[in-house]
Amino acid sequence: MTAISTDEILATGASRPTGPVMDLDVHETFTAWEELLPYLKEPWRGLIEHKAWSPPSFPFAYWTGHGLNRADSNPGSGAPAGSSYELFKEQILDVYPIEYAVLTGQFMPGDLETQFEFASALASAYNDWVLDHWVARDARILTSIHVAPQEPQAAVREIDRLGDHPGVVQVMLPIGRWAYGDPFFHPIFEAAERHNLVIAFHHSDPLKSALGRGRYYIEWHVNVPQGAMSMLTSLVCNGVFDKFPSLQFVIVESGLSWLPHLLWRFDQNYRSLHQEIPWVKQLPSTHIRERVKLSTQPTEDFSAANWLRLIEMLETDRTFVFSTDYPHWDFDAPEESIPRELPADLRRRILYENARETYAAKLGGHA
Amino acid sequence: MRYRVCHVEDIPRGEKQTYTFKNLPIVVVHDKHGEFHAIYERCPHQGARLGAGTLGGQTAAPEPGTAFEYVREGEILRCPWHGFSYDVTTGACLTAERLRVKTYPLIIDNHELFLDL
Repeated sequence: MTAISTDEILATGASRPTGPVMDLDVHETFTAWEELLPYLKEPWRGLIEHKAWSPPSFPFAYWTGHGLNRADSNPGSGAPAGSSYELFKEQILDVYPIEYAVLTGQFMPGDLETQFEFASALASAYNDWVLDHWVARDARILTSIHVAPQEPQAAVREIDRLGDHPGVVQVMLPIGRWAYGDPFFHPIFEAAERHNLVIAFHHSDPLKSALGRGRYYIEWHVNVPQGAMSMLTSLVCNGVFDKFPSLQFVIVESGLSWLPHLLWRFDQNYRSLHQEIPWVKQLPSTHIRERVKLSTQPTEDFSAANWLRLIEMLETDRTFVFSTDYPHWDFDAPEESIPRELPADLRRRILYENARETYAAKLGGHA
Repeated sequence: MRYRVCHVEDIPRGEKQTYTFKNLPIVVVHDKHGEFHAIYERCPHQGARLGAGTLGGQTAAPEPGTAFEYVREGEILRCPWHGFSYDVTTGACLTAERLRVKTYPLIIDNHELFLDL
């Protein structure tokens, strides 16, 4: 193991990438729920206005020393991290060569356990707020449509309402309560495919591991990939890849080094048990390699040599797409998280091209 | 060279029988349509004896929640260990392109079944 100092890194003169970067995970937020009031109709508006509702809360404290977010991401005046476009521009857009940053939000309407019509109304209000306050301000900013997947028909209406907006590139589905392979959710995939939108998954507060949440935040956070793995098995086994052949998927912030294991185990099981799921017409690994991207953050800090081994095991360099997770505490900087020792064409694939190709149906070019 | 296998009535339709010719273990299958097929009897995955496997068909359904059909009954031989499925008409494994068992030509002559090796 060789120790590397910051001075040595900076001395190389290559601490920042020069090529384009796409960042697929930026957690923007509002300063207060009341910011959504102009976008809500009654009866929903009154529930916020009269403080008749309390949003769900996360049960863990964050032990990073500065909470959920980077200590330098607080815009001041008591406003939450991620609520300032100006600070995001200063800390990300103007620091790195970001061609596009895709907003993923912090509020997940799919986390609401009850009153699904209200969840759908909040989703619509939030989407309109994001378009006005973030997307409209910078051509580099793209966003996700938030929906309440627990009410699929309302989700479809929302996708149809905003799906063709030029700043909207994906539908965000939280990994928490639902396994979206279930045919109950298929209308959402059908609508996304109709509008050339990607399906993005991001874990959310209700996520549990196979053994529950655990007593500690670190347990919960280490176990996050279990949700992504379960989601992929659900999607494949329920025929989502076969039924929606042009749909692309991005799993955001759920790790990446577990994927070879899943592909091998899934294929092995499919060879023996495929008669149970005859609608799945090809190996799970083929579906996943062709249609699923994993965002890189948190990169697990493994070496360039292990990046190359991982890609060799996956048999493709098209799976990984870069993300920062700004402003959260486990933020990844492009140059430092994707090792400089990797071949230049591979770094370009991870930092930009794989993502650019994934969104080509909406953004044009790079198909 | 021809080897006599059996009388055609010795293997009822929908059933199989294992033989050894020139030290080669071979499964002979009499399918539901009356056709005979012969394939090598060892699974190329981990060497299990396909003669101990299950002769059946293949499921078909367009998506979850739809009715299952059961097709090609008697033409799919499943390995007794891991359930890998082999098409007895071609020797192809249905779910692993790399895997295939050799097939052998059969001849019926005066109600007697012969294997051509």
